[in-house]
Amino acid sequence: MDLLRVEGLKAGYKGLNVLWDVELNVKKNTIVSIIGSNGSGKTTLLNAIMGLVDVSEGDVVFKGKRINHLKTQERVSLGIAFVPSERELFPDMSVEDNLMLGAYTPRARRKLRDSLKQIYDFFPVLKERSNQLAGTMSGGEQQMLAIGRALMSRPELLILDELSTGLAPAITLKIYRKLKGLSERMTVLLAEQNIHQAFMVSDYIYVLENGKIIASGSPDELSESSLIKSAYLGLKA
Amino acid sequence: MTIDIASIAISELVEVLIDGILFGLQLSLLAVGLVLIFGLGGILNLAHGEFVIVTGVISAVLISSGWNPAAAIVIGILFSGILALALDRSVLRPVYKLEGEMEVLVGLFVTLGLAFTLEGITSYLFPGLYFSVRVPVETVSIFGLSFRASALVSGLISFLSLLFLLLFLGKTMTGKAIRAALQNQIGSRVCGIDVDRMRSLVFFLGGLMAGLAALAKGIASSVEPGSGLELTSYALIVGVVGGVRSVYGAMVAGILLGIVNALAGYLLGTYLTLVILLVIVVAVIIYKPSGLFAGGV
Repeated sequence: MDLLRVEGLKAGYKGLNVLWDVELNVKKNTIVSIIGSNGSGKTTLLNAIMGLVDVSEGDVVFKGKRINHLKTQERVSLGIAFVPSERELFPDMSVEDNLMLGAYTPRARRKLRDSLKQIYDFFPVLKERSNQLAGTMSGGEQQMLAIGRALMSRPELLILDELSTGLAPAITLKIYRKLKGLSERMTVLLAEQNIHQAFMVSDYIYVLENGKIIASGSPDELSESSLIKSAYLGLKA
Repeated sequence: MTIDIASIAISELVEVLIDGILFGLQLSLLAVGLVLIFGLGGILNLAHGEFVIVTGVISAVLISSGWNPAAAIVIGILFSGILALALDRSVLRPVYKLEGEMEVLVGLFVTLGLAFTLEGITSYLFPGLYFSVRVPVETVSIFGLSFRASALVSGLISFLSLLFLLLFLGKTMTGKAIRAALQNQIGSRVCGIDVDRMRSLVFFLGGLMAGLAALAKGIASSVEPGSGLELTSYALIVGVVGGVRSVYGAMVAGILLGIVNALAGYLLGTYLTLVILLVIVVAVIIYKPSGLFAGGV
């Protein structure tokens, strides 16, 4: 069953389209990646799914319902969580306050204490630094906090934008391993510039270039594609 | 003989300092509303002082019509909150759609226009009206020092109002959501926070704080139509010195400037106090434009 469908999507900024007729399906309990070079439209696509940019044509469908007209916060209430590439934390608030605000929706607030305990088990460093101001943490810790904050909403779909940007490879790997474990009970959609990481964790991959999907398939299928081999994996086609 | 003079001077100085702190609490209360609204709404509300006047006018009119004073004051305070909310929901809506300097400039002129309108209405309809709450006791002696009872009660009301605001912002989920929205609007949206609703709430809170400032000022002295822009100026001075997006900064800066105001009045003369406060503002803008206590909402 498709948890998320993007159908014929055109979207962009101030009336200028960046995405052109994008089609994308995300099945339940899978990890789906969108790969592409810098400026290909990955962030715009995720922002469009979250209602953070204008959609001029096409639909975003979540659990069979069209959600184009919903505001970002209403999409979060439906069970979509988003970790933006800039993390967008609250720097002058404590780690614990940041996490608690992740459970702001009424549905998540009812299980706030349970969720907080789970996040602290998932990322023990956040518990150690629960009283520290978010803005004073390292890049890797902030990324864990941003993911933890998103998980606090108990989402059915977790969307992550450029998880590995600015992080040491070892930390990225650690976070990806944890995410892989999550996919048994949650669906993950991620945009990633680090192709190797995306191939390692994903069940299905879309390749986005100049605002258009140019290829898609499982990691095994795509690794056989001459286009992907030469343009993204640095291999001879 | 010399020792006596010194002890008199010290006790006077302590009285002046405490007077300054009490006045400073009033300034803080006046400024926090302005800072909250600027922080989330992006609007430097030049009609903020008029919200103080509106509470005073409504309370005075209701009391003179035979209403119970406490009920009249509560209605006056609530009215300022509702007026601020109406401002957010009506004339400022189109302003939020603008960006950058355009939003700030149009917001300035819209609220300035509203300030003149409210001042015109209140001065025309209620000439000579003033709001003042009498405290039954004239002076209070504490440890041999003498204080005006009205200043103490006014300070206490300001302190309790600020404490309420601090607890609300620091301990409740809605208060935390307001602080979150002040720091990062995209981050707030992806947490499921309705930023527009938070902005409306902040306007309502800002109006309530202005209403409470009217009560504090009405106890310490009086509130009368025509002085709204002066009150806005004081709120701006405190806001800029504290950090124009920092509620805590406004609280600390208000008390600090209250002390400076009292000391300057005592040592140099009251006619110089506003000049000295303005010099401090200019110095802060030059040397620490983000404000002395910026950082942390």
